[in-house]
Amino acid sequence: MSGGDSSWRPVAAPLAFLVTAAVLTRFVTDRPEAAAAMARGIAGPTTWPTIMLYGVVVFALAWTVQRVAQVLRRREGPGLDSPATPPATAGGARVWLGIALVLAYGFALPVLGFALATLLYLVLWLLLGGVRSPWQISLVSLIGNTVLLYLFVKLALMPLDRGAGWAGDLTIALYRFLHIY
Amino acid sequence: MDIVVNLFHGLLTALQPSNFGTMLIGLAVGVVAGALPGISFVNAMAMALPFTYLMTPLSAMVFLGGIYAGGVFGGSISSILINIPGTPASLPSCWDGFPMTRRGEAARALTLAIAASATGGLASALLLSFAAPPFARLALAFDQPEFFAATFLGLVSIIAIAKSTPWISLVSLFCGIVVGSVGVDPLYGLPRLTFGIRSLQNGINFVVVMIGLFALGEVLEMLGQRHHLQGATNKVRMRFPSVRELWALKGAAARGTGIGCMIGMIPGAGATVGAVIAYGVEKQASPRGAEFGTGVEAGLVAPEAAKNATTGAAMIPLLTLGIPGSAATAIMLAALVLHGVTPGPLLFAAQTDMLYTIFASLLLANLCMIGAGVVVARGFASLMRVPPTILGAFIVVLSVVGAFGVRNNIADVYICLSFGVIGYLMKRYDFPSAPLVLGVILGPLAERYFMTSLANYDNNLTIFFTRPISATILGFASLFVLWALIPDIKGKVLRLLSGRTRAR
Repeated sequence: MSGGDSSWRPVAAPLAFLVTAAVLTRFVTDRPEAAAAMARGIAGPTTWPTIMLYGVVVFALAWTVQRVAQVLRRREGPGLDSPATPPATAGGARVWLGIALVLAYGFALPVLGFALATLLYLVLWLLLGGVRSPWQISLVSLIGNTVLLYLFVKLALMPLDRGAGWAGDLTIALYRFLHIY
Repeated sequence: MDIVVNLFHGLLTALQPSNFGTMLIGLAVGVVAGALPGISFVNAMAMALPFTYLMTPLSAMVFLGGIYAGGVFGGSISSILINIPGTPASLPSCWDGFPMTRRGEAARALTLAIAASATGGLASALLLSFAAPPFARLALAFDQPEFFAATFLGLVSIIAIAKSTPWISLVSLFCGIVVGSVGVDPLYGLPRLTFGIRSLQNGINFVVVMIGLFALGEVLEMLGQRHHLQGATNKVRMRFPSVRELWALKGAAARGTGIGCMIGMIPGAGATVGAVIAYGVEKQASPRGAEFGTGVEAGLVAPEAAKNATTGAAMIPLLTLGIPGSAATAIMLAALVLHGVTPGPLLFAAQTDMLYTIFASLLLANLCMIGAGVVVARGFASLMRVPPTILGAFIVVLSVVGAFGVRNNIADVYICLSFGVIGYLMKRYDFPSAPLVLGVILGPLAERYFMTSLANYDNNLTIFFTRPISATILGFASLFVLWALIPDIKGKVLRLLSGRTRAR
């Protein structure tokens, strides 16, 4: 992981892991009394995750110490142990739009159903990726969607979401039209 | 001598059109199912189980054996081509296979993977044929502490894989183990790290994490790079490597095969542990170890050979002791039991013909896998000609369907998408994702063996060091860590000393 050149920023990530893991050790279970009652000696339901969280704490601490040493060395003499260059933010906005689109696609699945949500997602993704030909967009999204429906609904018999309300009716009509329902 | 005669008779029976055809169908189903992320060959075997009612016990085992051998390899096709492991055991194939694809060497990576898998599979089928009874006795000496030690060995191999950033890799590994422990505890039934979210009580499946981190993370990164709008214009030509090229990789293949055979015999360890350890050992042993992760052929060949070498070896405890060491062999056990066949030492005396026909079929399946692998891989390789924007769009859809298909649960899709975003951020900030995935895969296994060891041996932590086999494996793990770290420590000390000398 990389960070800023002379600031304490490189220490932020390991510290975040350290603190999060340390805090999580207190919240391994919602029912600590039940966990304590079930435990026999050292073995109990929370033993393993707690040990592993302490593992994160220990190694995050080692990572923090390493980062602190790097920062101090850099302050003493520039050029020594110089940090990795910050990552290039290539296509940053496009990537964040892509993330938003992918997340929206996931959350649209139960509402719009697999068929409709996938169709919309494919069209938007292709536009985002720089495909501008209406023919290419239409063919890829329609044919691709149909092939996927045949493969997963007809052949693999997967119970993919059909959507709620009017979207569900539309999906069933589409399945009937494609002879897969 | 008896074994050779029995194997010859088995080979003749296996070559009968009905048996051979059944094996080929199983092989094709396995390769295709393995290559499709989220479907997996274990699901294919489970779906095929009802069809085996209509078959004889022999045909059922030949059919399932074909799916098993083909499926274990098939997972590498998607690993190499689109960086999505079709099976957990194909994870190490992403590390050097996918960089080869990015360099335009997809066909070479695929053919090397096929050759290595076939080599490992053949060796392990021969081991099964000739050495099953003595090795089965060894496997019988394994109990929970030994299974834990074997899984622990798989986990520490991460030290060799990511020794340039050991602390970050260890944080990543432990985070993965924590993620793997989310959900209801398998022994006590108490929810852990669920924070009141009901859908987390089922736990976080490693396939979902794997698809999210690798596939979605890769696609999102690809989206940020405009130059990826055009696909490869050249057709991917599947030229099989020459004998000389393969001979140059004999060390990697032999080490991978040896490790795969050893690990495969340990019930519960399986192909994933075998492939990961083989990758770690190869990284240490290879003169190009420092370049691993950039598309080094030995880094692909070793885990591929190990992965398929576990298939025959995993059948040793199954057939000789009736102990299934993995989900795939458990399905095979179910098929045997359904047909009234009881696996165990008596099987060798009572059903010799059937057993040796199964062994011979496994040998044939690994040979025929070369052809089946090339045909399926060629079909998948044509994906490389699709413009990456379009390919990326469908990878996202396949990932979503794959995540949903694991348990037919929409919550898995949300988890997968979340890990996709995390995967992209990990890539962007150079945080290693492989240890995290390894932790999610092996963590629950390690927990189960650790906790049952404590439960079975009066909470005695020393049990892991006082039982000879467990102590030996843990000793190997310690040696492995030292072997991985000593050159680095030595280098740092030398640099420090030379720096001081110059300062004077």
